[in-house]
Amino acid sequence: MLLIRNSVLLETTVAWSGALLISWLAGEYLEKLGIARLATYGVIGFGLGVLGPTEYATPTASHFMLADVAFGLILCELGFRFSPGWLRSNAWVLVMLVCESLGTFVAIFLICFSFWEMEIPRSVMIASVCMATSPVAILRVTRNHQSSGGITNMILNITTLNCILSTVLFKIGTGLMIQKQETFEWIYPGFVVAIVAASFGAAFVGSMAIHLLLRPLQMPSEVRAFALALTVILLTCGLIRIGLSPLVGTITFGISLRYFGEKMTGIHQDFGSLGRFLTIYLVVFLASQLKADAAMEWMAFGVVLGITRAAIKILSAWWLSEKLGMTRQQGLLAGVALLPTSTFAICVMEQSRLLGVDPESGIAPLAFMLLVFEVLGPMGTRTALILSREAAKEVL
Amino acid sequence: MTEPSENAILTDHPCEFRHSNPLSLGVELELQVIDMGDYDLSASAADLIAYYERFPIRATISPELSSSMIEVSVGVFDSWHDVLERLTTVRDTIVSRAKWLNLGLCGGGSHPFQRWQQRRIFDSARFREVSSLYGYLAKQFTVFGQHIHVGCADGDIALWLLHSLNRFIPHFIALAASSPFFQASSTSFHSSRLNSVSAFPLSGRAPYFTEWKSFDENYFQPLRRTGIVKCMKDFYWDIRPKPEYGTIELRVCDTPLTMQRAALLAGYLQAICSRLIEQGQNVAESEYLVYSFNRFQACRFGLDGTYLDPISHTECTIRQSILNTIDWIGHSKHSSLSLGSLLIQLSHMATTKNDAERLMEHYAQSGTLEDVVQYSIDRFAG
Repeated sequence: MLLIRNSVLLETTVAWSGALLISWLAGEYLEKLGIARLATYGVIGFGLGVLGPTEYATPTASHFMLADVAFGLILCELGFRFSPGWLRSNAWVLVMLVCESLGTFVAIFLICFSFWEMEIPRSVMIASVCMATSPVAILRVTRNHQSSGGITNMILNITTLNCILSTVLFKIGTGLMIQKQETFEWIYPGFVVAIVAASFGAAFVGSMAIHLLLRPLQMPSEVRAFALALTVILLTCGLIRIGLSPLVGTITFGISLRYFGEKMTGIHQDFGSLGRFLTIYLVVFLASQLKADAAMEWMAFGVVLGITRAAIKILSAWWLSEKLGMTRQQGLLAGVALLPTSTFAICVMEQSRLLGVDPESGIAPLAFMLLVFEVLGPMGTRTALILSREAAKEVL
Repeated sequence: MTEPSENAILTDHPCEFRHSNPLSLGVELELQVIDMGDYDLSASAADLIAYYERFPIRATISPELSSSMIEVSVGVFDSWHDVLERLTTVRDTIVSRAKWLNLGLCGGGSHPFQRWQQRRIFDSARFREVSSLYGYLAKQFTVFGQHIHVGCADGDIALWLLHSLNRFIPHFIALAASSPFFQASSTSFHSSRLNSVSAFPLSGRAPYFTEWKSFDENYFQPLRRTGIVKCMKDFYWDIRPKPEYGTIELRVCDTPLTMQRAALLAGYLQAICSRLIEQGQNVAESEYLVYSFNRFQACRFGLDGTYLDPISHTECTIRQSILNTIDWIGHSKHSSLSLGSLLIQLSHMATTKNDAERLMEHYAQSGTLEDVVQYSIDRFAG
């Protein structure tokens, strides 16, 4: 009844519920035609933001919070899927990370700083967002197609690492920007280090606590996965509340759970219907926040960035493929599969809210590139996994 | 036993049984390829085999029906000691190479929580044909066994040995049992793997022929002319002759968790065959009367299953029957230091828990099937 009395809230709720249902239906239909579901969600989200009613273009704090929770669940799953043991067995994985992530960072930074003459903080922020692969796209495409094999393994692990690196570098960029504004001189570098370290620590302690609480209960995997989902939600909200990073926190939470020996059966790893619902919401919501005018304004810049980013990631994977135990062709496909990006835009939103940095002044120039990769990225991953025969051709 | 020549698949001519060194041993292990990210099976057999081909490995590593499985064949040996030594060397190499690709390898007759619907058939003409014929059974056949070959001088001896071994089949099932979990459920069986094999129409026991010529003319060739079978590989019998190798092949064992147990099982089979040949006892088809009962008991209850003696129809546990057999082998004229060592270790194996019990015990302690997989990986790595 309370909901009915609040007509604004009601309109917003109906608008978003309808958008999610339409996105889901369109995703399922177009998947039959070979279009990745996430690409469909992205296009619909962008369309709603540009052409739809104001409900879509003017999000509230609740929308951001829900997106943060959705992203937290995905990052936790990604962290949980990460195999630290692989880095000990095969050091070339780290070389690959350095080449594809830091290579992308350096190249994009130079383009921003030298050719577009942007300031250092803004260049760092843009370059750090570009180095990350979208965990949403990677997880959902591999899960939807039950992908299994060398490329799948590679992209899941590299994505975990490049997301962490990207977040840390983005925070440095944010710190630099705030320092430059001279509003909070104390903020950099100590504050950035403190935020990252505290986020790591809180997540580590949280994962240890939940593991110790769950261990005596001997629950089946699906029940334990539910308990972990609730914990991730609490962790995400709690970290935002105390000004820490939910991105670093949730990914660390997933990695730590694995470290403590927590196990989740594969079929429950996407947190079931809750996870699927939040994924659709996250992608549609984030795409609706992309600005069409910024995309058009920065089109040339976006094209250069997109080509540079794609070239470095693909060439790195191709060049190191044999060292990593893959063929050259697999390396090439792994590079293509690593291309999705855009969900890291939430990083910007999070930072803007926490530290008072306006995202428009930070990474608005990325709008075109994010839009393109929002659509083409998941398609590339899907195609690469099918061509490498790691993904089932049939839709699952 | 001799290595087969290329294209040793049977032709339209009578099926020749190649001579091989009597009692020589060969071991094949079907191994699980594990994704170390989520402990599920990984469809990475092709990647793994391609990677292994870059290095000299003293074994043949080949694909199997499921793309989450590899088969390791370590060659021909005279004694179980040699088998153990080679298996251990090969194991160390393939495990470390698999780690490079973030993959795990382990034994066990079944993966505890894999779903057959998610399995992929390895991309080869033969496997596609099998998959097309058997439908979902092909994917359900993602189970992992140890195959032990014993060399035979000729086809007649091979068939006589094959049928004489019917009495001992439950022993091997119980000793090797390591598939208590199937499709994410506890089955209450020690070896649930054989239930998957039993679904195939050409499974079970071999038809009762004691002469190779008769078997070939009256059974194999007529079946082949009908198109039901093309080669001996199309039979999924518990023991089958392998004329191109000059061996009989015992196929009831789940892949054990350790190389030690795999080698001891090979040694046990060799010792039984040696003793059978030494005694030259007749075999009769009537012995198969209790075959299915004993087989079921071994699958369901492992070493504590009931064993009905095929000749006297007296009853004891399978464990006791194994101990009696060890005693019987010990009275061989050809006893040696090596045989003595084998029998001591076999006695220990028969009086302690089998792998299935260890897996169930570990599950009871840890509470997750992923932990069971990790345990299997650790046990396999030594």
